[in-house]
Amino acid sequence: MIILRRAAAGTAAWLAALALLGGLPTTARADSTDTTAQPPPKVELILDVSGSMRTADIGGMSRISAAQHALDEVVDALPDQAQVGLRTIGATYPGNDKAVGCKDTQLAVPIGPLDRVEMKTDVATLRPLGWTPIGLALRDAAKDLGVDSSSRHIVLVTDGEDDCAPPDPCDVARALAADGTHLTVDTLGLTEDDKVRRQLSCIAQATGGTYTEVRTEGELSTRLTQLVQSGATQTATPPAPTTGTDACATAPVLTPGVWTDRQNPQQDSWYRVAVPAGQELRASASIAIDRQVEPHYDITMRATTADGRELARSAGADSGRNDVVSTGLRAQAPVADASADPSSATAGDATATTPTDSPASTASTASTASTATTSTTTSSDGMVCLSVANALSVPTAGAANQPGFPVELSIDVVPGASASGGGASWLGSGWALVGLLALIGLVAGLIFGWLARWRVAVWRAP
Amino acid sequence: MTLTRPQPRLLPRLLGTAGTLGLLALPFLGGVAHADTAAPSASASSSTSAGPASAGTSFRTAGALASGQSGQAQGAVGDYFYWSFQAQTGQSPSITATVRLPSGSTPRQGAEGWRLDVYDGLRRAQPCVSGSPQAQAATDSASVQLSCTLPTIRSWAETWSDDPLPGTYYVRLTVGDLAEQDLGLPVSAQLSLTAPSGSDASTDGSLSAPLSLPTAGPSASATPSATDGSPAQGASASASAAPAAAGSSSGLFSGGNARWWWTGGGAVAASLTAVIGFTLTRHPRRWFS
Repeated sequence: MIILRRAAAGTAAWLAALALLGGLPTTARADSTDTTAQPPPKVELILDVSGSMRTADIGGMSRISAAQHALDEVVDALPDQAQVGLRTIGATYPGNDKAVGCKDTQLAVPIGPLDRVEMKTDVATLRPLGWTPIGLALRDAAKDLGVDSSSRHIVLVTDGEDDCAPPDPCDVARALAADGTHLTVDTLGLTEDDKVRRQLSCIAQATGGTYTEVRTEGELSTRLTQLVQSGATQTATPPAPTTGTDACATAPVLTPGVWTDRQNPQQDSWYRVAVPAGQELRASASIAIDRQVEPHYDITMRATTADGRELARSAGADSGRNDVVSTGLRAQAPVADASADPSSATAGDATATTPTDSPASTASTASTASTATTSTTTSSDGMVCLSVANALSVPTAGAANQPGFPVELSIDVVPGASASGGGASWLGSGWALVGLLALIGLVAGLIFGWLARWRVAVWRAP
Repeated sequence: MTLTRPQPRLLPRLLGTAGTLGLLALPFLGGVAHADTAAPSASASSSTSAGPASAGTSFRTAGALASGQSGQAQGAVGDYFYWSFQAQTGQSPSITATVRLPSGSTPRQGAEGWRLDVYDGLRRAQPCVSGSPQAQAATDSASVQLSCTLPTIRSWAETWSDDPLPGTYYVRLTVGDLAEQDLGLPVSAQLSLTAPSGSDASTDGSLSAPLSLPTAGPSASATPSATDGSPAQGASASASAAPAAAGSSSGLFSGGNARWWWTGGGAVAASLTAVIGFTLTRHPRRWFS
């Protein structure tokens, strides 16, 4: 047993070394994507201080004092380096002039490293007074957050509908999300009103945020702390922007990573990815459903060669309430097909491309096929075209189509998968096979032994 | 590494009956022992060190679950809770979720249809081979139970197929149909994940890398090299990839070669037992006296 264990350990080490050798390229690739420094995530709180916040219906407290109490707890719970700001709505103008009241939003605490004392005193001095210009506040908050590549969060605490529309705050939120790369608006409603709920959940849906209806002070502080904390400690790197085109020839070239784009309903966008010979493309596309759509929708993704031959296709379809519809595909580099069967593919490719393509491209195809084993010559034309199309329908046509739906593309290029066992598939494997063979051997040995004994006995008998 | 795994408890019995057989099969045993001891210790240490994994709100922010670890979510009705976990070849992961609905003073306005969606590393929807991934919560029920068992993870599949492959899997828990008035009310959920190894892991081939997508944007170092020097980058990438691919497919004991070893070992075992059987009948006194 000791011998066995030692030998097993030796084999394990040997296999581990083999695995390390095989795993090296992938780990190196993973490291290179992690080391990029990102600006810290930013959070801005928007607190509604309009006149209606005086209503005392949050467990006996007035809405504003519940909100103030919750904000104190949030400030205490946050880490020191959190980048948090505070903006107020309706805090200064008590009058009835709508034109003035609807411009009443101030940045109480600018976004920066957390100053607990300043934040708390600012919150404590707030008195509910004026109007509720949510749309304008969202727009200004987005300006406060800036448009850099950090992840940006807005947490909106309000009890009332926007009484300053137009602009409709929901459209404002959607347009703001389309401007930057990563803006999320989480909304907290302090009322059970249907219209408020519809508006706040619409804002949340438009930016991929959440909507919470708060009925007690405890719920408010728990949820607010959770939202601000998760926003301030967001570690996911925002994707890089790109713009797809309507044909492959002019499409942007994507490198491995996460990309974001916008797409109108029923649109088809093209992208390109360089996939060297022997490599495999892995791609995934997700479309966030950020507005009301018709109940059934789908997304289709296709990978083709530059001349339109389809390599892979996938589709994701869903229906009903959803935040995202997604699909993904794997595709081998196009020249891998030629290298798999060089003798027939050389002739086939050359004749196939002659009628349509220029002589130069035919020559390159021929040279590609003839030197298919060396990947250096083929990598220059190893472009795979990716098309992403959606079948989302917006009930109200026209303005509701703009801006397009957010598309998230994840691209990866990895060494091709290896199908083993093809050469020796007529052989077996596993302990069952070994046991069966051993059993057959034993039975055969016994039969031959008995036969031999019987023959000896018969031979000796006379 | 892609060898078919025997049941561990079978080993002593087999070795007891034929010691010589065991010696012949040492390379296989080594590989198997290595794989079996490494996997549980890794998952056990990570599950004991961390508490329940909190849910994320999107694919990219999904809360990472280790095998055996539980997930939890605190949020509002209408939120989308995302978790992710890693699955290996031969496993058939099973997910169970319990949604605790508020039983507060205000009754819910209507039934809520909760559902559990599972996606693979490329965000392709995966079917549940058993379990109840959708459940209806009546207006007075305090909790809903959902479950989903994935098909057995294959080691390899054609690029055009949707077969489940080793890599990342995503779980999304959310409410489908609901009364508008119930939107935004507090809710909490517990998720548990078990990933038992299936009995049969066919060794058709292997992926060069698990099916997981990058979660970060394109790296700054990769972007310029791809725009101006793509041939050089492609050459280096495929040059480094070629030995790896060759190593995994034509390793001495893995891939297609494993079958030769198994069959050859079986033949040797058969001839040995044949000799044993023959001598057993010819000279029984050597054995039984």
